[in-house]
Amino acid sequence: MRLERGEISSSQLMFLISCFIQGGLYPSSLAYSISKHDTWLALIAAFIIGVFIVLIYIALANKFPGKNIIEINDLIYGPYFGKLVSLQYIYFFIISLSGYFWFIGDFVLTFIMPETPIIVIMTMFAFICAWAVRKGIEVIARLCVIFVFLPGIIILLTFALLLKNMEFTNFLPVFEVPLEDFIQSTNIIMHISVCEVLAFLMVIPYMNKPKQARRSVLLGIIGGGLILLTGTIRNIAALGPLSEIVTSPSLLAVSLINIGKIISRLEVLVSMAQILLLFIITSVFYYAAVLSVAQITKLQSYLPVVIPIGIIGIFLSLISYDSRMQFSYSTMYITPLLSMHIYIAIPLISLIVAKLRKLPQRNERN
Amino acid sequence: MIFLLVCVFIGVILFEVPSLIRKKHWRELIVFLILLSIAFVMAFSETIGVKIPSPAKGMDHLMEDILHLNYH
Amino acid sequence: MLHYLIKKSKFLMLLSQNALERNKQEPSQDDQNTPANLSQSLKTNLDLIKGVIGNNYDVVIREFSFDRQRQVSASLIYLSGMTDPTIINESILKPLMFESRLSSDSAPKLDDIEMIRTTMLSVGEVSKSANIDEIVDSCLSGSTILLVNNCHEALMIMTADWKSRSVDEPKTESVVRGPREGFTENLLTNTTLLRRKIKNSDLTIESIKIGQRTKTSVNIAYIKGLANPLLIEEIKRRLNDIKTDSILESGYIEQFIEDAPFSIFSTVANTEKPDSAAAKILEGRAAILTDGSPFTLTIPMLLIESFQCSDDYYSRPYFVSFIRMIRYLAYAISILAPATYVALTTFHQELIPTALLFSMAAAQEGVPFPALVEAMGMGVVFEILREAGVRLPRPVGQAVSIVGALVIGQSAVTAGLIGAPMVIVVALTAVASFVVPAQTDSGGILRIFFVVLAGFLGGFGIMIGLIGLLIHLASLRSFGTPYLSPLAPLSVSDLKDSFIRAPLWAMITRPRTIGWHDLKRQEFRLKPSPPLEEDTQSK
Repeated sequence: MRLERGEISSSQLMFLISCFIQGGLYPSSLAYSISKHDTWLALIAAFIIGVFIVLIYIALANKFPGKNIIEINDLIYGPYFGKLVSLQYIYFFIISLSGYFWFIGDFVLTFIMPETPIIVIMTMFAFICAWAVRKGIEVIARLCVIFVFLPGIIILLTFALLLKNMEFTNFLPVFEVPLEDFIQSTNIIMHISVCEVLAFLMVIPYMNKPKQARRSVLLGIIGGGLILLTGTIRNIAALGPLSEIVTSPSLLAVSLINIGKIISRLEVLVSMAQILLLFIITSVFYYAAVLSVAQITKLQSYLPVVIPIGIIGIFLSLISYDSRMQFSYSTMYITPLLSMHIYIAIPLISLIVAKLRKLPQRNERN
Repeated sequence: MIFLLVCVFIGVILFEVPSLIRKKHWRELIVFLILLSIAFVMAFSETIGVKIPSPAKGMDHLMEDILHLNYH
Repeated sequence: MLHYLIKKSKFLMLLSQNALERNKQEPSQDDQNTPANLSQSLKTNLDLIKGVIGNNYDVVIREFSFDRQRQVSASLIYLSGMTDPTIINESILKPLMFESRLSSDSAPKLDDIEMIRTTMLSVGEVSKSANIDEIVDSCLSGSTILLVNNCHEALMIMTADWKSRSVDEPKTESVVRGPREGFTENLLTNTTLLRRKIKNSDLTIESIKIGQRTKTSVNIAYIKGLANPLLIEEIKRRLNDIKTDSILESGYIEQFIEDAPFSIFSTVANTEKPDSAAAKILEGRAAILTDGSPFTLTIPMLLIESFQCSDDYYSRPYFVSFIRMIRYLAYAISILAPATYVALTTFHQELIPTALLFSMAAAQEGVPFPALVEAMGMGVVFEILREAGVRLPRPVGQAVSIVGALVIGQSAVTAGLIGAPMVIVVALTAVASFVVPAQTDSGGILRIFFVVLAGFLGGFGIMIGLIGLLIHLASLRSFGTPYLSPLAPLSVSDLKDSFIRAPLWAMITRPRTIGWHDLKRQEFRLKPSPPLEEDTQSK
C-alpha cells in the first residue's frame, strides 16, 4: 500500500529542488576558506559534475517508476542485503537531519539571538518541520512555491545594490589555488548542496507525471545553481580576501549596503530567506528519513514515526557536534570523501546491478 | 529538567498512542515505542550528563585516524 | 479522585450507549400519540388539528358552509399575522361562500376536494395532503388549511405574507461604487434578488428544510453545467447530515458543514450583497441562502476572496490593484506589527536606526512593564473598546469611541503606564485590522499568537510563526479546493485576480480550481480601442 497518498506536480518538484539548492548558500561558506577567490569556479565545477551524478539518480528512479529508494534496494539486492543498503541510506538521512538541526541552531545563535539555549531553537524548528512532514509532501511542495522566488529576488536585489562595492580585481588571478584545494572545494560544495538531491529519491515516486522527473530535476538544479552562483560572485566581488576569513560572507557582504542611510540592515532579509530555505531542506530530509524508516518496517502510515525521529535527530546533533569549529573541520576535511560512498558509490553500483540483472523484470508488475 | 523531559515524553505518548490503539495499528505502535525509547535514552543521558559516543564522531575518527582518507 | 474518575467514565459510557439506542429507535417513535392521517369527519379532523395547534393566541378557526343545495360544512384554519387576509377573504372565502350559491341545481357536487382545488379557489399555490404533520407544518409556514366534511384530505393554500425588513443597504459591506441592495431575512426575497442578477435557466435553486424544531428552509443556488456536480452532492450530503434542533442563522449551517472546524480560518465565505453572491455563483461556486438570515454562504472559499471586494470589479483596474496590495499590506501589518515591535525592542535593538532608537529608549524610560506585557495589555484594551463600540446604543457610541481612543491612550502615556510608540503601533494595528473585514476574527487570534512568540523568541519566533501559519494554510482545503489556490498549487493564469486585478477584458477564464467545467468566460479580443482609421473613413 502506498505510504504517501499525496501527489506533487512536476513544476512543484522543480521549485522544490530549486529551493533546496538555493539553501546551500550559507553552508557553502565553508568552501571559501579553501578555494579562496576561485570558489565560483569550484561551484561551477561542482554543479557540472553534480548534474552527471543526479542523472544516475534519475535513471535509477525512472527504472522503477512509483517506487522509492528503499523499495528499489529491496528489488535490486534481494531482501536481506537490500535492507543493509537501505539502512545506510537511513543512517545518512538521519545524520544529515541532525546536521541541519545543528546548523540552524548555530545560525540563529550566532547571528540572531546569541543568548538563547540552542536546544530551544532546535526544538522549535523541529516542531515546525515535524508539523510540515506530518501534513505530507504535498504541503511542503506548496510551501515551496511560495518560498522559491523570495531568496532569488533578495539575492538579485542585493547584487544590484552592491554593484558599487564590487571590484572585479578580486577575482584575479583566476585559478590560483592549487588543484588539490580546488578538488577539495568542489567536493565540499558537491556534498553540501548538489548531491543532497539523493533525498529526493524518496519524493520522486510521488509525482503525478513521472516521465517529467528528469526535466524538472535538472531545471531545478540549474535554476538553483544560477542563484547560488550569483550569490557567490556577489560575495567574492564585494568582500575580496575578506570572504575566506569570515564565518558568513553573505551576511557580511549584505551588511555593507548602506544607501542613503535608509536602505541598510538588509541582512535581516538575507537571514530570513536563509531560515526559510533551511526549513525546506530540513523538512525534505526529515520526510525522507521518516518515510524510509516507515518503508523499511513496512508500516501503513508514517505519522507515528515522525516525532521520535525528530527527537533522535535533535539529541544526535547535540552529542555529535560540540562547536562550530568541529563541525566545519569535519565538513571540510573528513566528510566529503565519506559522503562519496553514499552519493556516488552506492547509487552507481545499484544502477549497474539493476542493468545487469535486467530489472524491472517483466513479471514483476505490482 | 528531567521532569520537563518526562512531561514532554508523556505528552508525546498521549498524543500518538490513543489513535494508534483505536485504529489497531499494532506494528506502528511497536515501531513507535522502540524509536521513542531510543530517543528517551538519548535525551535522558544528555540531560543527566552521561556522554554517549556519537556515530558521527566515530565515523570521523575512523576516516581520519585509521583510514587516513581525509583532506589535509 | 479515582472514584470520581471511575464514576465519570461510567456515566459517559452510559450516555453514549443511550445515544446509540435512541438513534436506532427514532424513526418508529414519531407519531405514536396522534394518528397520522385525517379521517372523513370534519369534527374529528378539527379536533385533531386543534389538539396540535389550537391553543395559540394567533390561531383563527373559521367554520362555514357552502354549496346552496347540500350545505357542506367546512372550516378554515390559519395563523393571523402570518397570512394575508385579503387572499383569504377574496380568493378563498368569497368563491366558496358566494359563488357556490350562484350555481344551479345541476352543477357538479362540491364535496370533492379535488374539484374545489381545481375549480373554485383563485389562489396560485394550492396543494392537498392527508398527513397531519405536513398540514400543521404548512399552517405554521403561513398556509391556510381548508377542511371539508366527508373528505379525508385537506387543502393547504399558500397565503403567506408577513412584515419584514425592506431591501436596504447592507450594514457590514459598504461599497463606494456598485449596487446597494442587500439581502434581507426573507428567503423568497433573497432568492428573487439573486434571480434578478442571473436571468438564466441554468440557475438552479434547490430547497431543503433543516432543523428539527425550526424547520428552516435552506436554498442551494448554483449554475448547472458550471458548478462541479460532486461539489453540489457533497454540499447536499453535509446539509442532510445536520440533525440539530434549530438553525437560526446561516452561521449555524456554516459551523456544521465547514471543512476544518479547528482552524481559525473559515472555509466558507459569506456575503450580504446579491451582486457579490451572483458573481461567485458565476465563477462556479454554490451559494446557500438561509431563511431568516441576510448572510449567504458561498462554497468553496479561497483565502484571496477575503481580500477581494465587489466594488473592485466595478472600477478601473489601476487604482484598484494598488488598493488590493494595500489590503495585503494592511493585513500583514495588523498581524505582525505588535509582534515586530515587541521583537525589535526586546531582542534585536541593533536593527533599529540609531536616531529612532534614542527616542524610543527615552519613551520606554519610566515604563514599568516589558514590551510583551504592554503589547498584550493594549491589545486587550483595544478589543474591549471595539466590542463596546459594536454593542453600545447609538447615541452613546460616539462619545465612548472618542473617550476610549484619545483619552485613555493619552492618559496612559502621560501616567507612564505605556510608552508612546506602543500606542502608535496598537492604533495602527487596530485601524489596519478593519481593512480586511472578512479576516478580523482570524487576525485577532493571530496577532496574539505572534506577539507571544515574539516575546519569547524574537525575530526567530516570528519566522517560526509565519512558517507554521503557512503550513496550516497550505494544508487547508475548502470542499476539495486547496485554500491558497492560485498561489500554492501555482496556476499563473489565475494570479490575474489575486494580488492585482487585471482589466476585465483580460479576465478570459474563470478560476481554474473552481470553474473548470466551463473555463472560458468571455472572448479573447475584447480590449476596447477606438475604431481604426479605415473604418471611419469608408463611411
